[in-house]
Amino acid sequence: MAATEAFLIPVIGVILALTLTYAYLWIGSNIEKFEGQETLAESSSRFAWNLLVPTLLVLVFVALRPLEKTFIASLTDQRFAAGAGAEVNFVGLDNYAELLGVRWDIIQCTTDETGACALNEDGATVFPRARDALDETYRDLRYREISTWLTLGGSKLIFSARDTDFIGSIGNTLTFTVVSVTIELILGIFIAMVINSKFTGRGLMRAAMLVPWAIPTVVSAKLWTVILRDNSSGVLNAGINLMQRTLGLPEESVAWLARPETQILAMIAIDVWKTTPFMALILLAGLQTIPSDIYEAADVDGANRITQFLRLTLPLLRPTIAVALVFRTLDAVRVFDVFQVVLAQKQYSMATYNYYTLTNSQELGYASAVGVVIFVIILLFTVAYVRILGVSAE
Amino acid sequence: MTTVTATQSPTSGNQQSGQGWRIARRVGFWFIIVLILFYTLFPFYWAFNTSLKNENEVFATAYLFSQNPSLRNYESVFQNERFVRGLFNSTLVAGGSTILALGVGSFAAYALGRLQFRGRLLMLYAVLAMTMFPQISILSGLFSIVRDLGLFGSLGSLVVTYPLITLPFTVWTLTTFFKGLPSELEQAALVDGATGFQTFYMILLPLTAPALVTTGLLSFISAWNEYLFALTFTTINPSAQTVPVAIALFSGQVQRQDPIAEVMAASVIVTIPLIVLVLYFQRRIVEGLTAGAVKG
Repeated sequence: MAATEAFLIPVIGVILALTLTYAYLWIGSNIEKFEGQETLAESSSRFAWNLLVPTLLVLVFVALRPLEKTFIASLTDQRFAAGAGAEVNFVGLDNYAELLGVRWDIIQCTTDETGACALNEDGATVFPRARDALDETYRDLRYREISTWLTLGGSKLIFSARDTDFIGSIGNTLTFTVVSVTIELILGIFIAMVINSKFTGRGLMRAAMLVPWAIPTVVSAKLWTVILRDNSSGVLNAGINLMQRTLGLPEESVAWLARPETQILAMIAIDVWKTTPFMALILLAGLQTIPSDIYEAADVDGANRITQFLRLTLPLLRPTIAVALVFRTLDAVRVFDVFQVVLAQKQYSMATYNYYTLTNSQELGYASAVGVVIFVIILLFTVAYVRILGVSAE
Repeated sequence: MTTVTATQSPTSGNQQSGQGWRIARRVGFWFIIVLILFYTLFPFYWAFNTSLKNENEVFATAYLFSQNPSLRNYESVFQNERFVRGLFNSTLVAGGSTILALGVGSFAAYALGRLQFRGRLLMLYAVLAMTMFPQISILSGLFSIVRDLGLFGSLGSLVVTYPLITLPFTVWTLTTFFKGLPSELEQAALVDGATGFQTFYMILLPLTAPALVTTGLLSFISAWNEYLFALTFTTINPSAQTVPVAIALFSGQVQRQDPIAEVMAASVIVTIPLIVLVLYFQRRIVEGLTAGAVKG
C-alpha cells in the first residue's frame, strides 16, 4: 500500500463516522416532528438514547466485544501466528491453573549418618532441592521454587509456583502500587498545602507542576534511565559521589537498574516523579473548596496547626483524596510504559508480562488468561474502593 | 500583615514571635518552594542538557552544563526518517481520535448532562466504569478484532481503538460542563419550536466551546502519549509507528549501541510542544482535570 493511501484511511474513517452520526441524529430528531403523538417526556427520552447510540457503539466495539473475545480465548489453546486452518482446542481452565498454580510445602533437611541434619561448611542446614524432595505432581506440573518463607530447625516452608514470572509480576505490581501511591499521596498533600498558601509566583509554580504530567511516560522512562546510569555519568550517582567526597567517604556508585530490589525502587521513583505534581494539583483543588473561616474559628479555639490538619483539613479533604486514590491506584495496577521501556524482560509488571506472552511466545489463549486475571484484580480494587470510601458518581 | 504559612490559617498565632523567627520561616518556606521546583523540573533540564552533548561527553562524568554544546543531535534526529514519520503519524492519530471523541462524546454528554431519561444514572456509571477500564486486559481480544478487520500494522488500528482511552473521559468531563449551563436556554428554544438536535447543535454546543477546547487538548495529550496499543498494533510496520514507539525503539543514524544523546533530543522535541500547550492553557487544564475528579 502506498504511504499516502495509508494516511488517508484514518482521515476518511473519522469523517465517515462523524457524518453518519450526524445524519442519524438529524433524521432521528426530525422524525419526531412528523409523528407528533409522543408526550414531551417520551420524545426527550428517545432523543437522549439516540444521542447515546454512537458512544454505546464505540464502547461495545472497543471495550465489551474485545473483553468477551479475551474471555473466550482464555479458555482455549489458541496461538495467533497459527494459520487459518489451525486447530483451536477448548482447554477449560488449564490456562488459569498454569498461571495461578502455587503451593506451599514443608521440606525436611538432608540427614547425615547419625540421622541429624547435615550442615555445610558455613554451618547452615542443608536442604535437598525442592524437585527432589517433593512428590510427583510437583515435577509433572512443573512447579518451581520462588522463595523460602520460614526455616525452623530441620524443616523449611517453601513457596512455589508454576508460572514464577507471572506470580513475580503480581508481587512487583502490588509493591509498586502500594509504595508509589502512598508516597504520592503524602508528598502530594504536602505540596498542595505549600502551594495553597499565598505567595508571589504561585501561578507559575502551579503551571510548573503540570510539566512532568505532560511529558509522555516513554520519554520520562528514557530520561530516567539516563539519570540512573550506574556510574558517575548518571547524574544521580554523580550527586551521590559528590556527597560522599564531601563527607570523606569512599565513592561508590549504585547500579540502580541492575538488581531486582533497586529496579522496583527505580520504577517507583519514576512514577512518583511523574504523578506527584498532578496529585498535588487535584488535592489543591480540593483544598480550595474548604472555607478559610473554619480555620479562623479553630484558631480562636486555640487548636494548633497539627490538630487543625488532622481534625479539619484531612476530613474535609477526604472526598478528594478518595477520588485521587482510586484513579492513581487503578493507573498503577496497570502500569506498562515504564516497566516495558526500562526493564523490558528483566522484571515484569502484570501488564508487561501480558504484553510479552502475547507478542513473544504468541500464545493468544494463555495471554488472554493473563488479561482476565488482571481484569479481576483491578475489579477487586475498584469494588473495595467503592465500598470503603463510598465513592459515588453524583 | 501576612506571614507565609503552609496552611490557610490566619496569622494571629505568630504575631508574638519575633522578627528573626519570621525571617527564618520565610527562608525555610522559599527553600521548600525551590526544592519542589528543582525536583519537578530538573529531570527535564537534564534531558535538554544531555541532548546538547556529544557521544563522548554522554559517557563521561555528568556535568551540569555541557562543555561544548551543539545542536548536532537535533539535526540527526530530524534526518531520522522513522522519527519524522512518527511525528506525522502521532499528529494524525491523536488529532483524528480527538475529533472523533469530541464529536461523539459531546452528544452523549449533552444527553447525560441536560436531559432526563430512564437509565441515565446507569449510563453515567457505565461511562465512569469505562474511564477505569483496564486496557491491558483486553489487549488480546482487541488484537484479534484489529487483525480480523485487516487493520493490524496500520494507523487505522490506532484511530479505531483510541476512543477507548479518549471517549469515556471526554464524556465524563463534558457532562459536568453541560450540567453547569442555565436551563432557560433550552426552554426558550423549545418555545421557538427548535428540535432537540437543533437546541443542542445551535444553542448549547457553541456555549461549551471553551470546554471543548480544554477536553480536546486533554484528549489529544493522552492519545499523543499512548504507548501500549501503538506498540502492539504497529510492531510489524515501522512506518505506522507513533512518536512514543519511535523513541522507545530508537536507533541512531549510524548504527550505534545506545544513541542516548539523540534519544534525549527526540524526547525534547516531542515534549516541548506539549509543555507549551500545557503552560498556555494551564488554568483551563487544571479546571478540566478537577471538574472530573473533585466534583465528580
